[in-house]
Amino acid sequence: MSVARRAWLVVGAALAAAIVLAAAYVRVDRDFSAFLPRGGDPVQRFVARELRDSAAARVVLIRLGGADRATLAAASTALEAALSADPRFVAVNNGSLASGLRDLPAMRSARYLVDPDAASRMTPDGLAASLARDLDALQGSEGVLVRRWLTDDPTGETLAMLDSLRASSRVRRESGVWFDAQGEGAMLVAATAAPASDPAAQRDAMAAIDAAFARVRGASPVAIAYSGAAILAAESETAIADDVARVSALGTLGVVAILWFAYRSARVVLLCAVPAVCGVIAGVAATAAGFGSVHAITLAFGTTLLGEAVDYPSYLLTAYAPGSTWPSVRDSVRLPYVLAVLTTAAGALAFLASEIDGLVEVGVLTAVGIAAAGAIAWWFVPRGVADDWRFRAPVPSRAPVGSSRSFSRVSRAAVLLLPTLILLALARGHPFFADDLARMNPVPAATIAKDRALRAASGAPEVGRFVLVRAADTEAALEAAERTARALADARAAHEIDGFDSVTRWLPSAATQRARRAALPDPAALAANLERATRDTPFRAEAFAPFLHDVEAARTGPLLTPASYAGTGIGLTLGALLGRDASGAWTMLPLSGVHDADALAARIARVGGDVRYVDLRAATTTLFEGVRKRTLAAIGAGLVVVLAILAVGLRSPMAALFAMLPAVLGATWSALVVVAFGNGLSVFHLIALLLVVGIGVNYALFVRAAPSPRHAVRTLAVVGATTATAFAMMATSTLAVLRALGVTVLAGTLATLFICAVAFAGSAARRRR
Amino acid sequence: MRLRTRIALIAGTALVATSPLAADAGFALGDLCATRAAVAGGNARFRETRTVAALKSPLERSGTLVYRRPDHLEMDVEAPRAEHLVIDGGRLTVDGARGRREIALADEPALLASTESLRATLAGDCASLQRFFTATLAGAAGDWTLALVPRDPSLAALVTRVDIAGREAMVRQVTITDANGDVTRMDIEPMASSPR
Repeated sequence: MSVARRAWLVVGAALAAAIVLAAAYVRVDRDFSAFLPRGGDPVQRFVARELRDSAAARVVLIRLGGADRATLAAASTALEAALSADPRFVAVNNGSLASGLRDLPAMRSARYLVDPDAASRMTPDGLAASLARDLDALQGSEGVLVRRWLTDDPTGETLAMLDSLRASSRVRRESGVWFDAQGEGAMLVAATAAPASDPAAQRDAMAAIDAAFARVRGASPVAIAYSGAAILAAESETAIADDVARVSALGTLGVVAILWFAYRSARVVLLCAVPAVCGVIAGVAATAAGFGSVHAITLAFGTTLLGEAVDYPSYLLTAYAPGSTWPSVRDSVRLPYVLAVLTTAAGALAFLASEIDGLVEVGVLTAVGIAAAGAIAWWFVPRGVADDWRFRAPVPSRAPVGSSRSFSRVSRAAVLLLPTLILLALARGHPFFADDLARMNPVPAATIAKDRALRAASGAPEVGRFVLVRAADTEAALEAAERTARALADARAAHEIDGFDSVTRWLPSAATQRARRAALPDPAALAANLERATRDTPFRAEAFAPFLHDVEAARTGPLLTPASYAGTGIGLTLGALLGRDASGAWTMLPLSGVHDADALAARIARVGGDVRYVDLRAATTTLFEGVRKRTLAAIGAGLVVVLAILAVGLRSPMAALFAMLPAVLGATWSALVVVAFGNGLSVFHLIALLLVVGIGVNYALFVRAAPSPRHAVRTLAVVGATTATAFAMMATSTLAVLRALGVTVLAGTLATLFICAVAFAGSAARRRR
Repeated sequence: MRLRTRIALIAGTALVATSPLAADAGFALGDLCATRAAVAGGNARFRETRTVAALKSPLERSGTLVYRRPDHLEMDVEAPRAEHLVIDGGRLTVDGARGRREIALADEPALLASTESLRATLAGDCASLQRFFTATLAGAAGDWTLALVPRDPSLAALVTRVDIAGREAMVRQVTITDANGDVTRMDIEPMASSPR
């Protein structure tokens, strides 16, 4: 068995084992909070968690359209029934009576604890006033409503609660179910029983809706559209996976084609993939060992940065000339090769200082992956190549730019300076950085548009502005929310806001509930009050025994808890607006129509405790600004490390600067292109720019060390073409993140190649002189 | 005692067997609907007696009714206080002491049961009757009673049954029995009826 064959077998077996181990043991984490600065602002933490997983994220909005109202109403009722019977959904509501009645028992049990005025209506005068109103209603046509709850609720608490719920609902009703404002689509709302963070369960829920709708629809023309934060995430994950698969397939195909054109050997093409694949596996394994799991974003960034490793075999292979031996090839590229691997690995390690867990992971994955890929290519590629292999591809022997002698130092400087100035002029006035969450959203644009349309149709509030109350436990949070609600009522009176909502409307603090209970009369007192109130009226006092019973039940029964509303629409709201986390409990008071944010913030600050006004959009922007700043600092530190390594390796700070110049200039051009023609630089662009620098430094190192212009051109042609192809494919992605990475690296690589060619022309000219 | 009961039963059976009711046993729900469907509209006076458990005495209302095919129903209450109700399709508009209010009937099952039972009977809309109720017709064309029991559990939780009595194409009495035992009885006296 030849050395080459044995090496193949060993590497093949090791790869297979590593892939099996990785698949079995590496946990991919989707928790976005790993990408937040450590010990960040509690509001930022809250916002990040809200982005990822909350009860609100489990809510699914459904719209049925495409038919007349009667057909839609019937379809809505049938779908409501089907989903209500499905254990995968809770609190299904289409606005119909049946779904409304499901909430009624819970609401009615709560009635004497949620109304601040309940006790005052039980005095003789209060009862007399209520009964007079009841009698009036009984004589009219709406008596039917009053009659229903007359004997157990003569003070009209149930009707008041129903009115309050209806008033806060912004959808209209047609044919007995919810319709959108235009009356063209029937609206339903449901929540998945599974948590939002379980994409498999969310996909299952989507399938359940599709199946239920298929049965409901029959042969009718009714069409369905549905959306929800968790379902959206699950859906986009599928879309992302599809797009990533397409982009990688195209990229791989392009790279393989170029490598085949260059090397004319299937074995050599395969050989080129081995170091990169091994690098990914080693990096993932190291990250998983160090952090317990690998974040999905880390994986994406890390493998992108490892894209550089595909070039390593080419640096060796393109240096292999007829008549040369592998030891001599290695000797000729040893310095640039070692520096290329070292600079990238060390640059990535700068992320360790970022204090952002996710970026630390990216650093470890990249550093370990690059080192492993570099080592494997160095030892394995020469052994894997067949002994009779020769570089045969027709590559131009002379650099196209270097052929002209007329390129003076001045003109070269002009060639490099002019595009920089033009791009600077074009980028002027454009925002340099993009910290807007919407622009970084990995969810496909069409899906976002659908979600927005559904939200608008349903009148579901965009939870953009709210007051966040945090406290040690739920009771303390509810007490603080009650104080906040009083301040917000004042703010509403002062026209600082149009309105607000608070969970304490349905779930008062235990202290408030106890106070309200204590104010309720005991059965003997209430009976005496009723006796007095019904005297000289057509009412029979003894008919109100159910009322006495219910008041006594409220007075002596258990206090309300979130569990009191389990499975109801109110329960859904409570779940979205009230929660617990590691540091205690929180509740959100959504605001509508904020007119004077400053006055409101000042008023809220006076409430005391951990109560603050949050503008979600501003908060997320600040959050991403923080992430971007730290990423930028980490990249800056990485560049310094790279410069130091180059200075030591090349034994000259000036040489180090010159080696970095094309890459840094290329990255600058690329960044300016993004600023001028895109939406500004996001974290994703910054990571891409680091890759541009990593690749560009390698180009400069190998051009500098190339034994002849022919060698340099050959090397750059192969590695430049593969990188450009792979990232050009990525630039065709429909996903904003992948497009950002693709465009930035493509532009940066092409710019760096051009700059290297210009610089190379200079060095070639110098050598000829 | 037992013997007397048996005798009474036999006598009763004999009486029923020989009465014109039994002879007209062919009068079915479809016949009633066909009869009503031929009526374009009509005006009537009504008197309503509502027995409410919590009240010492029943509540009474009276006024006029106007019906136009297929789903327009007006109720003009004159006593004890003026109120005007219009049911048009699925909407109920109430003009009363507290101003105007619009209610979607589908939102109010109690109202739906009381209004749809009457409207569908007046319109001869058998499909709607049978959608909301289990309908049982008894008697002959000259003296029929229609028993309507809500199908939907949320409706049945509020209204136990609606009984409608009539003669030929005329609806004479509507009795609504609430789940809590309250009974509303409306006697209708036609003033003019326009054939189709």
